[in-house]
Formats: sequence, C-alpha cells, structure tokens
Amino acid sequence: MRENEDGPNGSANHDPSDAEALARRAVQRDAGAWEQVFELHYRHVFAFVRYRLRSGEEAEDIASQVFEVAYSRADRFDYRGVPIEGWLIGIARNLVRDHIKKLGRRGIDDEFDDSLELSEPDQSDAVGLRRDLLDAMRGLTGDQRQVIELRFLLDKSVLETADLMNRSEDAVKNLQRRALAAMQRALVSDGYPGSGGAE
Amino acid sequence: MTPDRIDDLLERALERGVIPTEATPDERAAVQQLLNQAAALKRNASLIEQEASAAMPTARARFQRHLADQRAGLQAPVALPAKPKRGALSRWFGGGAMALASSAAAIAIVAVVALVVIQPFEGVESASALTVDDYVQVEGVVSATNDGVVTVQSAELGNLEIALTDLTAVSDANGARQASTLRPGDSVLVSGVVTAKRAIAASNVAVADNTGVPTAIAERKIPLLQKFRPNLQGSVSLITLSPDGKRARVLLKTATESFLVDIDARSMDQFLAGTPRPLGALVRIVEAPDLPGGVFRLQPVEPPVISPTTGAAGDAPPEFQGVRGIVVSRNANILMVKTDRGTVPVIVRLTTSIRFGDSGLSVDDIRNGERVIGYEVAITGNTDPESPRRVIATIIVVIGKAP
Repeated sequence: MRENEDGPNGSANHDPSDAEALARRAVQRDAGAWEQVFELHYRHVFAFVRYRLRSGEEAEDIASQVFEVAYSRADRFDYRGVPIEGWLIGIARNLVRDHIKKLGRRGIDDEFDDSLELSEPDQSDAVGLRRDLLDAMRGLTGDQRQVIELRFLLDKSVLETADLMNRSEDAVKNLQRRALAAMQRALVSDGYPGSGGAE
Repeated sequence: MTPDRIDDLLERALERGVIPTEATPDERAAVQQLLNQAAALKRNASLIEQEASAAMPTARARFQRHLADQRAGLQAPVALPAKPKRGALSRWFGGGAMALASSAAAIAIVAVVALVVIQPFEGVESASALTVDDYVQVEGVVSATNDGVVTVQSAELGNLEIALTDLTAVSDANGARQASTLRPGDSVLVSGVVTAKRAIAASNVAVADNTGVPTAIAERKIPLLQKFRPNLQGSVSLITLSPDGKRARVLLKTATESFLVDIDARSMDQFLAGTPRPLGALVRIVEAPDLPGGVFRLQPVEPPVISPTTGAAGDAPPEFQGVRGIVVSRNANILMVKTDRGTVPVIVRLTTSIRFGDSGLSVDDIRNGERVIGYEVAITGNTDPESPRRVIATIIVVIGKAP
C-alpha cells in the first residue's frame, strides 16, 4: 500500500491527468487503483460523514461503506470531468441520509445521537470536538453547509469548492460569508458571544 | 461595506492570515468575526483529522478484505456462526464498525476452523480444558504451519490448531511481525477465542526463540481440582475466561502433576492485574469459605518461574507487553492510557477480554455509556503492526477509579 502522496491532510490535489488516469483504472475495478483511491480520499470522506453524525463509530462504518459501494458501482462512474472525490462525497451523502432516516424510524429524530460519547466535553483533545459548532452548522442551508465543509473541514480552495459544487467562485465566496455569519449568530444566541472560539 | 467587498476581504484574509490593510474599521470588525468562526471550524477539523487517522488502519484492512472478497466472487454473509460472543461490549469498543471490520476475518476463521474440527479428536482428557467461546491464553511450540493455520504443541494439552487471520497481532522481542513468518520450532504464547475443542482463533501471538521442532508428547489426563489440597502450588500454564467474565480456569502445573483449577473471577482479575506475565507465574491455590465448592483463589508466589513449556530456564519466553496506567481518553476503540513512560494508545478489539475486577463497574455500566476515563487499567497485548507505538490489547483489567 503506498503512502498518501498529497500531503499530511490527505488532500487530493493531484494532477488532473493523473486523477483521470486513476479514475479510468478505478472504473475498470483495478484493485491497485482502488487502494490508491482509498488512501487519497478516506480522510475526507470520513470527515464529511463525521460532521453529520454524533457517533464516531457509525461514521467509521459509513465511511468504509462509501468505498465498498463505490467499488460495486465503479462501472457506473463517468470520470470525464467529474472529480472522483465528488462522486465519493455524493455516495457518502446518500448513505448518511439513509442512516438518518433509519434512526428516525427507530424514534431518533436527531442525526446526532445523544447517547454516544461526543455528547459531552471530553478530557482529551482527541475527542474534544466543539459540538456547539456542529449544532450551529445544522442551521445552515444545504449549500451553505456544503461550502463550510469543503472550505474549512476538507480544506478545499475556493476554486476546488466551486468545481465540486458546480457553482461559480463568487457564489462560493458569497455562500461562505453567509454561512459563517449565520453560524456566528447561532452561537451568540446560544451564549458564545462574538469570538466563535470559545473552548 | 458591501457584501461583495466583505467576500473579497474575507477570502484574502483566509489566504494570507491577516486582514488586508485597506479594510475600514467596520469592515475589519465584520471580517474578524467571520475569521473567528473559520478558525474554530479549522480547529474542529484537526480533531476530526485525528479521528480519521485513528480509524484508517481498520478501515483500510476492511476495504482490502472487501476487494479480495469481490475479486474472489465471495459475498459476505449476514450471520457469522463463529463470531465470538462479545456483544455486550462490542458497541462500546468499536460497535458496528469493528464488528464489520472483523467480519471478513471471522469468515476466514470459520473456514479454517471448519477444516480443523473435522479432524480426529486427539485427547478426550484435555477437552474440558477448552470451552468453545472462552477466551484463552496458552503457550506451546509450533510444530507445523499450513496456510493460515499453525499447529501448536502444548506440553499439557497436546496439539492445538491455531487459526491466524490478518487481524491476528503477531510480535516478538523486536516488535510486530507477519503471521506468515511463524516456523516450526518457534515458541509462542497465543491468546484468542476457542472456536472448537482443540481450535483457537488467535487474536494475539507472541513469539520467542526457535527451540527446534518438538517431539510428540503423549496425551495425559488432566483432572479438575474439586477438593482443596493444602500447600498446592505450581506454575500457570493455561488461562481460560468465559465470555460473561464469571468463570475462570487455570491449568496448574506442579513438579509432579497437573490440575485444572476453577478460580474465583475476582481473584483471577487481581492475579491478571498484578502479574505482568500470568503464564508461567508461580501461584498457590487458596481455599476461601465464601466460595462455592470447587472454586478457589490464586495467590501469586514470588518469584515467578519460567514456564517449563518454553524450554530450559534462561530461555526468553514469549511474552506480551504490559501496560498499566490511567485511561485519559477514548476515541472509538482506541484508549489513550497514561503510564509512567508516557501515553500509550491501546486498541481494543471484539476479542479483547475485558475484566472489571474491583472497579465497581459492570457490563451494564458500559452499556449505559460508561467510558472508563479516569480508571486505572492493567493491559496485556502486543505491538500493532500499523504503528509500533500502539498496543493491541488481549486482556484489559479495569482496576478502579484513579484517585
């Protein structure tokens, strides 16, 4: 298994021609290509899922499912002009949606399951997530939330975000500002005045 | 101050880390608030990144197995008959992710065990030493290897078939090693779950020097100690623990004979917590009026002796690492344990035997969300092949709340 060659954050900013060659091999279910796809994109897929679920364990499970589903549907992936990460994120979004629906049918109407460990502050930095931030994100529109996730959680540039969302760069900047402002308002109303950085 | 102007200033501030100097005081204030939000989000993102890194080895192994299964045209079954019964704690330590991650490995275990159990049963006398689904630690010498299954000759139990999977953590004095490197003659310490009367699905294997291929050992009848015998002491050469934690048994080897001895669960927990290397430890069997008939206590006797199984005194026996400290955090199935030597990440798997000792905790507490943070624990395990800093636990004894 080769190591991630795209930096410590696992961002997949590789050459477009390389990306297309990799996608072409992935469509043909080349195992080596899929191992590479996993190394390049797992962290981002996990992060995308993790921000939607309170349970880290369920996020791990669904992030793994994303790659299994993608592999099974490889022959349906049209790699021409579509980043493979965008396709994976789309699968992740659907799996999370299905998962939340299942929770709803079981009487859990909140995608953040309060019975699990991240409902309370933890002594460890490793699990000391700002749950208030995640809650504030839930008040955003779908597009605003996606911009926040891509820009600040997955560390995408404005250009990459625009590409993944099929929007203009100006639209991304506009959504970004509105989203941050909405989150700031939500946190102020919840008792986090101004700074947005209450620890 | 227009929205487009703020968009522009914000983006430049995000790129450069400072608000452009041409911003007016009002614009600066507005952008600064947005930057604060962005900074908080990025701090959260770095924590998620840590979670992703911790989850990645398990996810990678799961995906590789998925690819292998797909290539082989296999379909993962929904139910796995040989899955160890660790349900009560599986949600706590890994839940669905770990269960699914281990499913393919369990398939492999089922396959090899299916081959193992059709073989003739060699020693009826020793059958009672191993109960299906029990956790077990046993020592022996590898006498044969065959495509993921090694035959280990135990001095007391005879030949045992040990199923190895890609989730089996194998290590020696130099750290992690591949299961495929095991050779006849290797002294091994095996822990895992009994899947058939003479078969063990190994979770952890410690390897010591190669002592040469063992000669066949005659099967012997091993009696179960039912009545107390004063001054009975010897070395522990087998440990078994029931999945519910209530039954514990050792095989005690004295200078002249061997016994299976049922041990009070609390006494076993104290022994495991206080003995760095349980197998080979010298113990005395103690009677207690509050225990039911046929159940005894273990009392360690100093100094520990080398198990006769591994050869002459002076040979380095195979052994697991010991980690003792306080749990400071838990992230999915990884405990961070603060020890005298620093903080050690400990991976807990479905096959890890978790003992609650005198901690006051129970399985019900775990079901209700107890995370053992702040509790002192004694852990044995071996090196994670993915990271030499991490330990894959085979036994965890929760000692109690740290002061």
